[in-house]
Amino acid sequence: MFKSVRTFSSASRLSTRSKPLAFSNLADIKLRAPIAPTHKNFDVSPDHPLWAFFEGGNTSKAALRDGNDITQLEVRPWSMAELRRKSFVDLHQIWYQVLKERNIIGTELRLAESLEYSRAHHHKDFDEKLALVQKRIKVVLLERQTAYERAQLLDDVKQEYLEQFKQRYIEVDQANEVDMEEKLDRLQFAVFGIQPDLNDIDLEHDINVSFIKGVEYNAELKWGKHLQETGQNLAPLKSIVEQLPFLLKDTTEAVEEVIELRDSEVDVKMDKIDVIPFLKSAIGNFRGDGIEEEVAEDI
Amino acid sequence: MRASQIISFQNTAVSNLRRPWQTFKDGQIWYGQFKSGSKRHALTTKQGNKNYYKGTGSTGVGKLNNQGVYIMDWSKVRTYVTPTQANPNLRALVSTATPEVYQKFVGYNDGFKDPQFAWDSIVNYIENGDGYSQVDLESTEYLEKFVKPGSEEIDHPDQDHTTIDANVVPS
Repeated sequence: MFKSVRTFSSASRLSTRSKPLAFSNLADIKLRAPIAPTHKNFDVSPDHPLWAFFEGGNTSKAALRDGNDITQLEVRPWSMAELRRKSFVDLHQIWYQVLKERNIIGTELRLAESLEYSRAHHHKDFDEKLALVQKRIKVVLLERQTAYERAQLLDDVKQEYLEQFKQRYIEVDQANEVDMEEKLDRLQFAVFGIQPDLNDIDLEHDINVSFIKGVEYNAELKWGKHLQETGQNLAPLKSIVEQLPFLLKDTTEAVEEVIELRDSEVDVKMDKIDVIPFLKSAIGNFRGDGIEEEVAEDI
Repeated sequence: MRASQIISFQNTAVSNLRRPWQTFKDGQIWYGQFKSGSKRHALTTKQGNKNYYKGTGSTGVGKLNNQGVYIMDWSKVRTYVTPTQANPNLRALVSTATPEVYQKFVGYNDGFKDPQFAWDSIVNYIENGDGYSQVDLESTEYLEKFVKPGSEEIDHPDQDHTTIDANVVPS
């Protein structure tokens, strides 16, 4: 009465019958020795990224170094003084070198654990040295951040220096003019965060309140020097529209532009909220890679 | 007849049924396994009350919406910036043959964290350009000295190192 449900479906039965059930030409088949299931029978690409987890890279002979070999290495951690002398880029690289070494040690320790290897404490000691370097890098970066944040409070000292620099810039003699321009470039970068090369300015992130102050300071200096040289008596620069040309162009061109602006009697007043968008578009247009979002919306 | 051990009375099925022995701070009951023993271990993901979340520092980079579609929040996705230019001279550790550099501050109270030192370094950079602090360390016996302008150093006669005054500002 009950039919067994444990049967193949008709489709599968059909398919099995349609396949040939025997080898047609046995003579063509050549037998070969069986391939033993061992890692020696596998070829791994020499630039496989996981080679970085072994001491010798793709030329490694063993996955686990002898503990005594590690004690033979004549190395010590970077000292604080040495790390303090390094730039951020260098510290970044040292960090990653240490990270790679620690990955190797981690691989070896895991292997040593499963093999119950007795001299693995040498690996652990070596790892401690590496970890110490990482801790020291963190401390060095923290020191720099602390110093930077504390230095923000030295506003009086900063203003005094900027005033003194302005005087020196305006009254410089011709022999030291080039030198002074270089100093101004460095000042713009160190104090206001303005890149010396216009093409290096990141329109998204670099343009902020500090940048605006820098543009203002730069224009004041150059305008002041121009007035000093020519003996003219013109009103000080009013808004960012008059100040920006001094960042983008030579002083002579910028002065011409300012005088043209004043002759045309265009209203150069600008609300604070409009300054950053103005700077972004103006610098972008000057470089020829302006943000064209607004144009696209209008079309 | 030998007396029964006290511990046998304590660990009875009845006393075990009288759990929980402990509660959380908010009164929520906690069904622990043991009354005594070492307890000061880090909590695992299975412990803690209903508000306890111990992630693995991974995932959690988005959430499911009501249709069961996972919406990624790309600002939560971890990114690792690797160094772009490789300097082959920089290694993870230093050779023991490398002489150690020592640093000394004169006039600055808080070493590298001193705000005045930070500002003086900025001024030095502006006035003297990159590499204003480059000194021949061999000639100074690997001592790097940072002297605040105008501060006087009390030198010990037997430690007569050449002072590296990197903080000279031309007036």
